[in-house]
Amino acid sequence: MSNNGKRKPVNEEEDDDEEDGNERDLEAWEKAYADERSWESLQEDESGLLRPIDNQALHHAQYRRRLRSLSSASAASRIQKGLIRYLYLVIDLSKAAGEMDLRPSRMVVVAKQVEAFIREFFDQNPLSQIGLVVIKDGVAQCLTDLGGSPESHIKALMGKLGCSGEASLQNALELVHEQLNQIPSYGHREVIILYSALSTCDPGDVMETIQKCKKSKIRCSVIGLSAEIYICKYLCQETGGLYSVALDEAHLKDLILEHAPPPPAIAEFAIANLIKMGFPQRAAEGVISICSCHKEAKFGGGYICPRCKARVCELPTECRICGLTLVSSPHLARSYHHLFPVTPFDDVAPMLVPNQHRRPKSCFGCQQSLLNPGNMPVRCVTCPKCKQFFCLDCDIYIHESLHNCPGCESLRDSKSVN
Amino acid sequence: MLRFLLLICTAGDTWLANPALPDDILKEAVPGNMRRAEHFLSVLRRLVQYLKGRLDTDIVEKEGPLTFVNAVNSHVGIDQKMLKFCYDRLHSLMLTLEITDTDEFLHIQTICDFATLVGTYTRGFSIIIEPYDERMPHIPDPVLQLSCHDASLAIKPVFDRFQSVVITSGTLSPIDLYPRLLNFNPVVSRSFTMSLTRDCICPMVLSRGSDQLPVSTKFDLRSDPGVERNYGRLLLEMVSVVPDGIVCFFVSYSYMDAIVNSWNETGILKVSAFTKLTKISDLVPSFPKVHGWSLWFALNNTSSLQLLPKLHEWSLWFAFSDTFSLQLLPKVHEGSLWFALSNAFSLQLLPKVHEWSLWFALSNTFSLQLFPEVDMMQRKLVFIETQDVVETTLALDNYRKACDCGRGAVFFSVARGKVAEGIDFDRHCGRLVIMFGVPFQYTLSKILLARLEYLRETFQIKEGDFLTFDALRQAAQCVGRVIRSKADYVMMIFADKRF
Repeated sequence: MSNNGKRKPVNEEEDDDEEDGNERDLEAWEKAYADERSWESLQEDESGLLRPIDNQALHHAQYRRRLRSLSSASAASRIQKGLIRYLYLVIDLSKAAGEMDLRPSRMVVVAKQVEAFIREFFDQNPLSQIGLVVIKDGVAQCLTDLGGSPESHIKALMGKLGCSGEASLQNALELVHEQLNQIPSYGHREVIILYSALSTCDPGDVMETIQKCKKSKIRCSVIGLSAEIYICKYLCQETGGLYSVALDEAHLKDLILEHAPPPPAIAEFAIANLIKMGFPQRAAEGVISICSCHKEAKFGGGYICPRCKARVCELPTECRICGLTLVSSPHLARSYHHLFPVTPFDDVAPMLVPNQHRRPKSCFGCQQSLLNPGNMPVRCVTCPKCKQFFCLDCDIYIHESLHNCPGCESLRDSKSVN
Repeated sequence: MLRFLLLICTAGDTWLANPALPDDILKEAVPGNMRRAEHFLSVLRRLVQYLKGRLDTDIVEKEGPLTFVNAVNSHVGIDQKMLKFCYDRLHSLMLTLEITDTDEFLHIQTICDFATLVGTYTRGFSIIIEPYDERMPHIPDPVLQLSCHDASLAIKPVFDRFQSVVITSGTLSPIDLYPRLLNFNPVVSRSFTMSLTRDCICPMVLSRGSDQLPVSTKFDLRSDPGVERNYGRLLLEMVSVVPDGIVCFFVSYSYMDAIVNSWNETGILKVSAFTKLTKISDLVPSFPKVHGWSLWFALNNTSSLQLLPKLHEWSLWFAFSDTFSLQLLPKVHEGSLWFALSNAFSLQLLPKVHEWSLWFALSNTFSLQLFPEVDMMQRKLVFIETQDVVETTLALDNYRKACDCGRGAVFFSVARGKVAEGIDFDRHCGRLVIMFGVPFQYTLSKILLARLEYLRETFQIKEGDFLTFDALRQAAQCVGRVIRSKADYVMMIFADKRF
């Protein structure tokens, strides 16, 4: 696959098979054929007929694997997690980000995935804040400060997509370290670096910077796009983060989204604190007041900070006047499920023919039939606490979005899920 | 070869460092005409005179030990038995005189070792006298070498002493030549493949360059610009996709010099020079004196000349810089081997130079604009092995530092050098190894020719076979430097059409 039309200067000769990813821009519909070769995954059964691809089963298998790896780490014990996260996303916009092995270019793909990540992140961690940093021309710049509004980050990122120069890991770490030193101690400090370059051009000793970050308890993770670099691995090992290298776009998406749920907190660093928070009331309709975030007069809507009575537009946020963290109860509730996750459901062996009558005919969650036409039982799962049966789709939905088991909730005399 | 025998002899029992094998040390008394110290010294004096006379020749001479001993006997009257006891006698003389500072007497010890060996063995050795080095025929440099061609002599005591001997090595293939060379009959001869749980090595053979011309380091192709260009392109491409460290092996120092020179000229390994050096720090002004054989590039204009740091005489040295960088570059220590190619922007990024570091940094955006057709090696630092041990150690040290801190580096080395024999490039220090050409030995060396002749006469081993065997073994050895454990992963490229 080498030597297809490449966009390099004519008199540059390509060497052989190393980089076969540099292809011209493909339309979205072309991509599925050019690279994924969807026909190759078709299989034939014994009689030569095409077997339909069981996407659902694949999807479920993937999900189960993920769940098992997560829960095996935590077993039955409660893991303390950092719910209030101050996360810096460092995006590498050096020349290597302009490479086209991910189409249309690494930079664009990364931006897209970062957008999805930011939304997912605020969904799962409403109390946390994100800041964006870009590395360009060897220097690191703060694109946006730590803030809780996804839109502002996304807008800022999309506006600044241009790549040039070298990447410098040390400059980025120094900048992030400086910024994260200012946050209160109950917050968990994290950095995710999306590194496309193959090396780093540093002005000083990067090992010192890494030790500094380690001392300040900043958890650095790196997602590489080119190859495994020793210094990134060292960084992640020292600070307790995760290092992974993305193989393609789908893999990159998985890797980034892995960082959305809160990571386990390191015991000696996470001291239990009492954090002051405000639960503002909604301002009365028809009241004109000056909003503290936009600094202009607004009509109606908004929330009033309980301490200083300033008006804020949206929650969760930090009051600009008095610095109080303002949240609403659903936000806190959304973080709750990280601490008390739903137990993974058990697989049910499909060939329970003698106990056929004991299996219900429909899924408890969606009421869809659990039997295929022809009375063949479909794969299903069961909750170990309430013993209800659920189909695979409900299993995924319950664990990933709902975070409550309908069977356990509907048990009239049940204790709270603990 | 001599040293090999010495090593064998020092193992175990109370053998003194007699160069001959223990079985061959005669258990006799020292001959009468050497017992007294004065007589012994006059014998030695005559021997040294004779050797000096032999060295005064104009042509290359080669003879076997018997012929040599006869010649010695007829010219100065020292017979074989006397030669045999030279070592013992010298040793006892030194003990008697209670000489502690043996370093001073190293030369006479060498002569006695030589005499003892020549006297003891009649087969398997050759004496070769070369009046000058082949590469520099105008400089008289007479050398007398006693070379051992027979490897079986060295292993004989091991075989005689032990009942079972197991020879294992990672680089024993091709395996069938060893029994003949070492003169033994193997009871079991097995070759095991490496057991790998996952793909961790990726060996590749490159026989043609990207312009489809075959590449090789065959002697006639050595100065072919096409081959050099292809090799350069290969290296550039690899540098842009391989992280951390890359190791390159060349067939010889001279070839490495030549090819790096030509890469510089064609712009593959070159950076533009800048003008207008205004403010100068008190980094020394004088242009460094360059030693004859140092690899040396300097692309500069006059003004920058004043600013180049003073360097040690024998330093490997590049300097490309501009104003900004000079003000900001760290102070250069006298003994530092130092390259800096940069411009203002990248300066913030250049790693701080340790005092005596050997160091290249090639980068910047400006040069890219100036030479748009050719890639710059701006991704990695380059380190070169030289024949000097200190320099090489420095280079290695800094190479590792560069790999560790994420800057990435390329190490140019030679296939039979110190690095290839002993240094490991494990994990991130060696992610790619490129073998530029097949590392045949210097086929015109007299010692090699003598050895080949001996092998052909005694063991009926064809010259071509032996040379190929040796070259492949060397290549495998070089390439094996980079993978040291199961968790390591590496890519290997053999760049020659003869592979």
